[in-house]
Amino acid sequence: MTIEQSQLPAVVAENEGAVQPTQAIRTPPLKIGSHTLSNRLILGTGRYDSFETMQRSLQTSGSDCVTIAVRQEKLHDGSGRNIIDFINLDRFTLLPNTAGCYDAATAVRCAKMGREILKRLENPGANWVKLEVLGDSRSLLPDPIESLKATERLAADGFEVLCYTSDDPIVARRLKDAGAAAVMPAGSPIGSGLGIANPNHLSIIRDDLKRDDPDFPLIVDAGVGTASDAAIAMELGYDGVLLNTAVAHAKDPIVMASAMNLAVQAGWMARKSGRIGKSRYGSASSPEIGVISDRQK
Amino acid sequence: MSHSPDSSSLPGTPTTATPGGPTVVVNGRSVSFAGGTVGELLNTLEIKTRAIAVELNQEIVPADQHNDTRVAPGDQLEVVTLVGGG
Repeated sequence: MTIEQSQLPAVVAENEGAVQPTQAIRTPPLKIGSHTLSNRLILGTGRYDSFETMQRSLQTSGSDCVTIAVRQEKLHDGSGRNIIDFINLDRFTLLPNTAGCYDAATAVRCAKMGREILKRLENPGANWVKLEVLGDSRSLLPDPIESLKATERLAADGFEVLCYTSDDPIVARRLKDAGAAAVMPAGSPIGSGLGIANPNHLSIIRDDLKRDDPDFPLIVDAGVGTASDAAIAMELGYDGVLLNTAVAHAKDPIVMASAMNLAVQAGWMARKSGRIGKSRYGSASSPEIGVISDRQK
Repeated sequence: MSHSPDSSSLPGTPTTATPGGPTVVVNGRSVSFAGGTVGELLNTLEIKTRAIAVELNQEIVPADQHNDTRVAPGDQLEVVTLVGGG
């Protein structure tokens, strides 16, 4: 399925899809388990107005990995429209989730179902899962005990587990120790748009989990509201960002998807570059001597 | 779901449950099914996508075993597919 240039907003059409910030500097690929992602933005596929809008947003995001959910087939539906017909399976690695599960046993079943579907589709995402075991339907915060149990069981069954969790540093460490291939703390509750609520905790998680294992993948998953949130996540030293609602419910999802791509890359580059320290007072950029003034300091 | 009175007697034809007839439970819904393979059940459920997984009594039935795996009255099945999600 191709997208007509005329259907795209001008800012996107001029650049023919994903906007690259520069020809010279590119973010390196991200390795998670056996997977290598060329782009550090993982995009969700839920909550778009239409499959067509989702498809165009995926194109402009620059991402090559999308999450997807497993649900009961509507019997005798007859519409014949399935989301996979709108995702280029040659480009995108699918990352099936266990969203909506509230206990380890159900999450494990859900993960196995996702694996079975992706095997049939011959998609490389068949061996991994975004594990999400919720503990509360209002906050959508995860249940750490059930998440830990499910991580152990799925890792033992050969899954590469990318585990959604809260920003609790101790739970994050326990999930890594249980065999998670990546730990994915929430910036703030799913779909809240509150951004990075506790950057200090995210920094502690980064320090702790990467101390003797600098390549261990950490992803900020959930809470991102706009591009600057994604940039902050990357500036905190995270390896990637997983988001959905911030794009899907933006007024213009197609352009916001491109903004997220740029923000993730900008944040990675800024982290890599080493930001300046913060000072209470100013520090002049231009020389202080030779000014054509006899003003006394 | 309407059906002619005699269709529920045909093997492999799922309909809403006929009182007293053999049934299986698919996605929490009772449907008439006199017996057959997973593949035969799927054929009659009008599922149009290959992006599905089938669980029989909470165990995955791999796609290459659909035509060799029997579904018996009283069995519980889940037929799932992919939808958008984050």
